[in-house]
Amino acid sequence: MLRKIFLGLGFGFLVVLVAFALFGPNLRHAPFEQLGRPSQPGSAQYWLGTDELGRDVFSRLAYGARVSLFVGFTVQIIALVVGITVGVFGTFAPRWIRVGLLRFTDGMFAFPDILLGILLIGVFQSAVRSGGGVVLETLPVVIVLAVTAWPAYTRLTVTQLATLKDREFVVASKASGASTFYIVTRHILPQLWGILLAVSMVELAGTILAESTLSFIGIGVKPPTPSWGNMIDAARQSMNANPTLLFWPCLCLSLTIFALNFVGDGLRSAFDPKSR
Amino acid sequence: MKLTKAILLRLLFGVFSLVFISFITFAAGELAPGDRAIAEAGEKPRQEVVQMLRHRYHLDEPWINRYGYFLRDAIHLDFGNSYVGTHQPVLERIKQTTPMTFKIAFFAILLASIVGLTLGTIAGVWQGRPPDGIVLTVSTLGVTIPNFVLVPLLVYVFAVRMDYLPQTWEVHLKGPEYLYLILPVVALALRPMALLTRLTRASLIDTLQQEFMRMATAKGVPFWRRILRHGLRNAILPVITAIGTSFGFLLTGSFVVERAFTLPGLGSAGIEAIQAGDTPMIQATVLLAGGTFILVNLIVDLVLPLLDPRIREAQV
Repeated sequence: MLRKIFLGLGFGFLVVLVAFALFGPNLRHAPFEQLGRPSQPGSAQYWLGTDELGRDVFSRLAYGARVSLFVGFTVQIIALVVGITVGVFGTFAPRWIRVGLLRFTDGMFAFPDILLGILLIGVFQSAVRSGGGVVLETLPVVIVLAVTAWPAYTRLTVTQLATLKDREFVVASKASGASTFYIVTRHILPQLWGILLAVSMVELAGTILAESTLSFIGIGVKPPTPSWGNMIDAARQSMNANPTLLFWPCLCLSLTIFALNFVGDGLRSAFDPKSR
Repeated sequence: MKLTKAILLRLLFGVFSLVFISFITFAAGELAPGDRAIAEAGEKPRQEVVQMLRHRYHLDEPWINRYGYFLRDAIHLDFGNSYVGTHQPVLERIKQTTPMTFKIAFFAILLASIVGLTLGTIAGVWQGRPPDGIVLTVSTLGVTIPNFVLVPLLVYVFAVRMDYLPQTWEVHLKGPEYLYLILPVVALALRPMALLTRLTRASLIDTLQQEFMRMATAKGVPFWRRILRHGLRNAILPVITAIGTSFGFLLTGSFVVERAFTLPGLGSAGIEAIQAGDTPMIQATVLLAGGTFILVNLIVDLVLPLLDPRIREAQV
């Protein structure tokens, strides 16, 4: 019961967050313009005050939400497609391909994602530009996180397929002449959507966290493009003068992570009765 | 001997991982803009000078040869010279910064292990009762709240508000060094601490339900002796593996923590290198951090059979 309440709360928060990301950035002020005096407290004009350069905190938070959600969803969609495909090949392909793929997946899974991020971003950062809209500004981050995100889905797909691939309905389908491709797409994958959706919520939280981490240490989304991570970093540097600047991005990020975990847990128990 | 075979396989996988990471690092360097010859020839170089340098650094040979030279140099800890600034050898920079990172990582993992094992044991013993509830809630928060949210919070409470501890590292320290390292170590330790707590709790609860625990109760072994000698000794094995893997979190964490506290460590040096586009330094950072990660996990996996006769038996 408690789980259902949390699921509802988490889902409600996410709906609000999406609306915030879509309409918030230009609701009252532009996120990039220096409008008012720096470091002012919240007022009727600037709801959450202004930051150290006099920009509206509310619209920057909303733009940060847009960045986080865009990066999160794009990375997860790429990771789902790649992860499931590799997982299916890792189960049904000839033995030598299978072993190679799974070893490679294990290696990638164990590898700390931030290291790969540092390597790729460090070397290819000349491609990063700000002011090109959300897609261009976040491109390197999306690539790095997608490269590190797919192995989780491959492992999940492989363990799920292992329990499904020798069941009666698969054997029956095979006996009636269905191809492996048909069996996988029509009989097996439809049973996995529920658990994949639940896991992808938790993974999405991980991706948003990783994006914020990279932005916090100054190699992800770069200023002046606002992201919760680089907002926390900027606020940390002016902490003595204005600690409230620190509060809002930290709150947004933490609530988002919590909400996604609640939704993931709730969905998992809804789709997988055994875990209740 | 199956155990020897298992150990050899594990060693092989370790070597394979090292080759994998070295190759990725090498490839990234190959694809990066600029090369060693251009970096060292200086501004407006003469064509012949660049040609000579390209020949000296084997840039005119096929990539597979260069990978060989790269491996040979990396084994000798020669990572070349920095592309920027004074073209200082990368190894010098690494020697200056690694001790700091090693120090905070060591104390963080020590703190995380001690606190994690203690809290996990407490929660496991009083499963379902108030101490368990408190530990479980706190550790869930510890796992979900990112450390760069916790770091400013810690700094704000202990350094700005209460003024007990210094806020960031300074070039000329105003007090003993350990005062400056308390907050970074705590910030770095929190996440592995929470993970180890949860794992110890789960593993201990699992062990306490086993038959031999009832046997120990029946033959009258005192309570704490039962928990520590019979329960924890069995429950600790997955925790040891996790200490190895949580080293990965320390790597990520040290970048965040070193930046937040401006500590002069490998993480800060790596971030500086990225911002300056200093490819050799980036390569060295990734190789060192990744290599350490692989080696630590290899050692943990190899030590485990020594601690647990059952793993030895199962593999023989």
